[in-house]
Amino acid sequence: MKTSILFLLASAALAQPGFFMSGGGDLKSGIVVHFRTMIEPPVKVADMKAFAGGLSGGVSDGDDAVRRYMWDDSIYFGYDIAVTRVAGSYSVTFLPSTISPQRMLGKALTPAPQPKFPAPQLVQDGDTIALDLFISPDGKHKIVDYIQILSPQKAAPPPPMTTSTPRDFSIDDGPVRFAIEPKMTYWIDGREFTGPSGFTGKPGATFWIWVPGGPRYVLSLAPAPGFEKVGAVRDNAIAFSADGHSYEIRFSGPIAGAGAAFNLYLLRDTAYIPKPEQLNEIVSGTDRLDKLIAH
Amino acid sequence: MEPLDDRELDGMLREWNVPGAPSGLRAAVFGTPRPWWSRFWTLSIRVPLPVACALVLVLAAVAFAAWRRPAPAVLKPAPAQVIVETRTVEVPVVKERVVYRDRRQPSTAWKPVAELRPRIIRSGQHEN
Repeated sequence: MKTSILFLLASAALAQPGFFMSGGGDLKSGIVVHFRTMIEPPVKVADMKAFAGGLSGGVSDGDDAVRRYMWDDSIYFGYDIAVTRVAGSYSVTFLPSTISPQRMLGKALTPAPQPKFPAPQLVQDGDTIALDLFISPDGKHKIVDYIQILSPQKAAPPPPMTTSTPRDFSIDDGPVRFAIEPKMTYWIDGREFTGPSGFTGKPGATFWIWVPGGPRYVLSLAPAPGFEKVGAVRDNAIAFSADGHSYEIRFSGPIAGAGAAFNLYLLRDTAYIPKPEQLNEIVSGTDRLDKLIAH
Repeated sequence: MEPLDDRELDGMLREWNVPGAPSGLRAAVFGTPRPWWSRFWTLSIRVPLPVACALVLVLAAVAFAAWRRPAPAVLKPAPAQVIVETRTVEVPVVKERVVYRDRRQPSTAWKPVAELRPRIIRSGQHEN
């Protein structure tokens, strides 16, 4: 079983009015269940934390069902969602939550009253189900899950198309984004990595990745002392070669603009040690370059 | 009676028996014998005056030194230092995402819905 914690309050570039969090899980069948959680009617991004900052959310995916849950300091609320393929469509069934807050969150929480569950829903590839979860204390706002059901083909980020010669990135080239939703994929020596992986997104335009057995690679669009040019960023993909292997990380959207290619610079961080539970998975993330170098 | 000469007197001395001392003589001279623990409280010793003066000076010096010595320091606990810290909590994950959030916000009173009512939005179509 894999566990995902939804992003809370994404970067301003990613945020849209009312955006609260997003995340996803994939089933054994390859079907991807992507969640996007909104506050409706929307509140200002600056007010979001004060408005609903006490709530957190997560997703845990199993073989046949994805567990969606939200919690505050005392209670948790959630549901399981099972998706099966039915003659070219998908049958989506909502079930009572089976998460264990003590095991998954490390704290004892009281379950909120269980809601009444609907009949199974029949959807097509790419359809979205909207589901109200919470009502604000004054009754004027609600928190809504938008659940998109995607086939493995539809969820997988495409390979980059740009073939232009990469150049150095400058601030005039615009913001940098790493869209991990609904899915990001890792490719090593031309093969997609299907094992466990973790991503830690912090504000910053520098991407890093650690593969078991190697150092952490800090990858920057900007040249910096100690960095070497090893690859390029094209459209939605980061590609580079290091220590005898080729790596490609595909995101669900352009990184530094569509149709653009930029040089990629690498620094080996041999001091990095992942968390014990992550020693057998690919670990990656984003952060500020100065923080990564200081690390 | 004619006086006795020395030879005669010597003979008398050899013949004279001294009478025994009266039985109360010792008590009359030394007093009634008392047990040692009773005599302890009235015993006295003779000390030469220079020695007595030296002892008095030493005792006075010791008393003065004791009076001047500062009281032992008492360790007091440092006043409690209040550190206000804003901590970013990282929630560990097995796969994919980590949320970073400020835990200063109090728990909200959002109410979970009593019934899940799904609305389907077809692909390529927006919900009204």
